Amino acid sequence: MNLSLAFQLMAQPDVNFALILPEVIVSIAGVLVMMVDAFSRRADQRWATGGLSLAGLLGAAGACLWLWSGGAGERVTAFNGMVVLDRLRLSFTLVFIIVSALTVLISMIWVERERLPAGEFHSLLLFATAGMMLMASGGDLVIVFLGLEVLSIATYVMAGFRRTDTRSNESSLKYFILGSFSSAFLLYGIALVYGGTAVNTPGGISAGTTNISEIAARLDDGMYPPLIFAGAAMMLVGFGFKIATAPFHVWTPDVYEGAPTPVTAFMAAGPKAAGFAAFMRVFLFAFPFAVAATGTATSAQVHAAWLGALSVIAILTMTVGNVVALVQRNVKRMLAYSSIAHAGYALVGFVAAGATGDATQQSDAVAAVVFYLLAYALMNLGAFAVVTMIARGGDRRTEIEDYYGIGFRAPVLSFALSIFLLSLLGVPLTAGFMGKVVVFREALSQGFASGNQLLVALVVIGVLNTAVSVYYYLGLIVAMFFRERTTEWSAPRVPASISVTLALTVLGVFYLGIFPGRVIDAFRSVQTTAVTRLK
Amino acid sequence: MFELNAYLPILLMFVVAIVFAVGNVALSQVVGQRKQTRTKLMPYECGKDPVGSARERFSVKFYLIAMIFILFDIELIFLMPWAVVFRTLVTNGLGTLVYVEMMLFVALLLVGYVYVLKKGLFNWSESARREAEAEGRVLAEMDSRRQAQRAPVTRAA
Amino acid sequence: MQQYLLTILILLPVAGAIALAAHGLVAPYRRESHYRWIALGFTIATFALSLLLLSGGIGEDATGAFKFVQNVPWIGAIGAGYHVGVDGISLWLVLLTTLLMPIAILSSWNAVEKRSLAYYASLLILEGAMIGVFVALDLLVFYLFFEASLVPMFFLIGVWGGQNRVYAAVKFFIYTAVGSLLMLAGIIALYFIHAQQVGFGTFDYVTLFEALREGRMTIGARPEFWLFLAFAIAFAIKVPLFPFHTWLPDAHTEAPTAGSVILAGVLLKMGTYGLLRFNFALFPGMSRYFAPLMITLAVIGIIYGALVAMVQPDVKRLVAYSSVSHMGFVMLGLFSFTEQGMQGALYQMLNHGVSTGALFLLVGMIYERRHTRMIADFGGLAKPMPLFATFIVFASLSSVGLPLLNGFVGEFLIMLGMWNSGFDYAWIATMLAATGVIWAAVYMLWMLQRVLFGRVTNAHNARLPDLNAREIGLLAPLLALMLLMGAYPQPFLNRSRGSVEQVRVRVAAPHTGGTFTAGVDKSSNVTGDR
Repeated sequence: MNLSLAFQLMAQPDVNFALILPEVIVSIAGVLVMMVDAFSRRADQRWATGGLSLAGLLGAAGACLWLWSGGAGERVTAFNGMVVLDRLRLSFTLVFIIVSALTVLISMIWVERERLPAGEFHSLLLFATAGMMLMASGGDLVIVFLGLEVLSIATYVMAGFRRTDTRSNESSLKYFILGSFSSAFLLYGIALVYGGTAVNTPGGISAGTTNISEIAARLDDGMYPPLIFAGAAMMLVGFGFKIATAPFHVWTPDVYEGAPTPVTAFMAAGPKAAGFAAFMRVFLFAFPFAVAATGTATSAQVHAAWLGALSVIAILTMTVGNVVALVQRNVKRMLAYSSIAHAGYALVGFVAAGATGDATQQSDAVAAVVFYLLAYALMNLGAFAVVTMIARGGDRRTEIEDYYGIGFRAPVLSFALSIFLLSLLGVPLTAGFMGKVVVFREALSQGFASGNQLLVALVVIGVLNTAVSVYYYLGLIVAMFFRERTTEWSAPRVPASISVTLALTVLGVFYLGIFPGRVIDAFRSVQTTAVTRLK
Repeated sequence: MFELNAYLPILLMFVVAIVFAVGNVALSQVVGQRKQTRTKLMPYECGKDPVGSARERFSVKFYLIAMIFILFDIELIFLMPWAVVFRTLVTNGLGTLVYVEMMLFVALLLVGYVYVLKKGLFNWSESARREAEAEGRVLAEMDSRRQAQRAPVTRAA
Repeated sequence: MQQYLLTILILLPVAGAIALAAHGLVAPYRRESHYRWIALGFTIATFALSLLLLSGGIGEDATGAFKFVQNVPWIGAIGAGYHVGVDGISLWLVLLTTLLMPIAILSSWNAVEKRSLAYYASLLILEGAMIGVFVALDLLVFYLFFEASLVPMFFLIGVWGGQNRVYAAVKFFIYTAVGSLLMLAGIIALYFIHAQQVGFGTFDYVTLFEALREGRMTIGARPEFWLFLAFAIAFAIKVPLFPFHTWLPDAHTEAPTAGSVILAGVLLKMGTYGLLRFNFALFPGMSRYFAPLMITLAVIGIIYGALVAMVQPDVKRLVAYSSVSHMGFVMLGLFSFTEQGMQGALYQMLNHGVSTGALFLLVGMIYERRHTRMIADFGGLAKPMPLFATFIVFASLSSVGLPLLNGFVGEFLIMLGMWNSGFDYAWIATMLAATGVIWAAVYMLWMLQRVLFGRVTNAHNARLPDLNAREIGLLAPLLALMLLMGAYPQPFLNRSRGSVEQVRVRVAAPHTGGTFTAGVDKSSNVTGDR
């Protein structure tokens, strides 16, 4: 791109701040929280920074809904294609906001108990949220990557937030090293794709592109297709790390176990969903189902390659997560493996979205995945809220033995946790069940319509894995209600913020489980030009 | 695509450099004559006897200052090209937008600066003492914890 | 009112559970004893309301149509509706549920002392789920209630059960949950088959049934094979059919008395109900194809259950194994595909609920007094407890199938149906099943003899108090029902005739589409093809 072209672009800079309003609001809230942190006494901080964070998130949610009402069915871009507005982005953004708001609620009591700086925690959380939102809204690989880094750096710090605890330090360092490693993969993949999308034009060889729809348009004209294959593979690995899919999951259990519990809750719900948002955005729209292309075209081959790889990854992820969870004795570790397994279930929906060239079907499948992740976020955050309470100061009591016999001594916590576990297991009337139904339904629908046996096989494996997971989810309920406790134990006092969290998550789990219709419908969009082949 | 021949000299230089470095060290190992005395095995500190351990911990302040320096450094990197093209942009009618954007950027940096200032980052004397004390406490606690962990084992043995 | 009645019936017990929780959390003045009164009130109200179903004209015409139907869209996005209704098949099962529930609560009046709030709440939620199972006409809704009934039962066994309760509870949950997951896959597959052939996907049972009957939708032989299996395995585990029965003795033995009563009285019926309602109606071809295998397994179950019951040292375990045997009769009747057989099977479901329920109650009463259920610990109980002896003899005879009592009618109809079923070698199955009746007499009477008669060998037993008024009160309706159903079965059978006939016509007629030929292991076809 020569200089004159750059000026030409700048001449119509396509600035549209309204389109990034949610991100802007969250960022400003983060800065304000920093300032409150700097200018107020520490004792007042918890409510001030927590309340301010909640207000900021609420504002962002409002902005998000405002964008939604403004005809989000049509795909709009701004900042020269850097930012897009579509249902994928908005629905994911809402999920992020919900995750962060609940994390704020969980953390309010925790920061006090652990004597941690509330302001720093909340501002980091808000910046992480802004990063997640950018990941979902990026129409360009650069924005996606920037969002990912903003998110990651904030999360590295949060994982090591209990500075004097060696487990927390270990968790943070592991997350940092492996996270940087995966970011490097992703960046390298982006670079390769950029190189691979340089095309021969009458005016000479053009530069490559990192714009997602532009990549899709240029796939078949690239001068050296192996670059694109290698780039896509690298990005697959990079995103695979971020959402903890097998075989790139090995960091997850250690990091989730060592990180402070509210941070674990956040990491398992938020960044995972953000990873899915970016993963789906990039692979569904940059390497789309090539409707018009012949089987030998690069676009068709890349699509077939990543879809096949993703299916294998989905199978591995579900199976590894569930089977290894069976033998865990630590509750946080068990939930970590369960979160791997749930990423696997969500991947089934992703594969279904990738397997179709029909815009409506694809949007339905994407909506199913978002719904699944929302359901997972609610039950996961709820479960971790209870784990935070049971763990007490310093996160010490997280073994299964620590849960023995607490069922009727802390009935509210135990029954809430049971509901979340049953939902994770997928018992009807809960969000987890509906999530599985909509995701598997999309996969089967594609499978039956196109005769794609692979998708049917994925669903069957998913169902079998659900059967496996019965054992360990039930194990915790058995420990709480059926076992006797031999040691002294008194129920923790449930503070108001945790009560609110539990009430919201339990209601959410039942609402999504019993009346999911409105939410699913909202996540779907009929008009989105999902498959954008800009030719 | 690429004319790889052009890079041949660089490759050659790499090879020569590696051979030279590895070769010399290896050579001295082979032909060199060694007498290992206590003095010769001491770390070299300008001919003086070494004092204390070489593995010293630096105050975290050093790193923070370094990081803040980098931040303001990079601000300059952004400001430079902005300043260069600003005139062209003004003639293109984008002056206000670009000006406001850059001011926002600077304001954000200012926020960061105020934050570290209020957090007492530049308040060395007092905060350094407090921090050192806190660190000492943590280390002592970790030591005692380690000993407490070790104690029953030795008793059992 | 008509269309909301069923929903009210489902929600009223759940509201009771919520009321219990609310009372436990906020009431300023509360005692453990309040909970049982609240629970009793709600179950009795539910029972009273459910009697309104009798006024709905079910079974008065031959069509067997659904009454009290409520059909509203539920999740538009995936085409699920909330569709409930009652016909002759489900009418009696709903009434059985609502009748057994207050009795179960009365039976635990003094037995449950700790955590009674959660106990009664579990029972009430269970009632709502069970009613839901029997009235659901949308497959997804059915699955939902089917699974939802698991959770409270799991807690009932696991928290208030006996020695080995954790093992029994987990086994119960895993068996049934895994079985029903297959059914869920089947349900979703049906949805797509309908979507492909008719143009829109549906979970609605009535729509699917009509589409299949009118030939708008045909399921190929191979998919039907798998679909039948997916549903049948889930139900066979619940029934339980012979090789899947191993969870039952554990669960029954470890469960608290009320749990056993509900488990035997209602939960097992979900399996046979599901087979009758869904497998027969939706997969008639495969039902016929699998009938010989099912009949064989049912006969094995009848004889195996009886023989194992005979050697049990524990009374409760004996009754549990007798359930395996009795449910074998029900399966036998269902798969005869004759009017007598199927009607008899439906009747036998009710009988089993009433008589086995009564037996479990009686075992529970004696356990409360002696804290043992071993036959060897008793002997000569008739002397100190004449009333108890009378009641247990009565219930046992009903369970054995003495003429003029209810068991006789059901078993007689079933064997008549089997005899007339037209299957090759049906007479062998009938004869073998008939020996099951004899075995039942042997183990029941032998048990009675050892427990009730002879000299009082154990000094503890000499001064046991006889049944009190509450216990008599909760057994009396069951005994009255045994007499009524044995002496005058016609009103019961009339109500269900039309609905059963609807299904029977489907399943007994030579199936038009998709008879199964290619590539199937013929050896699984046990009695039919020889």
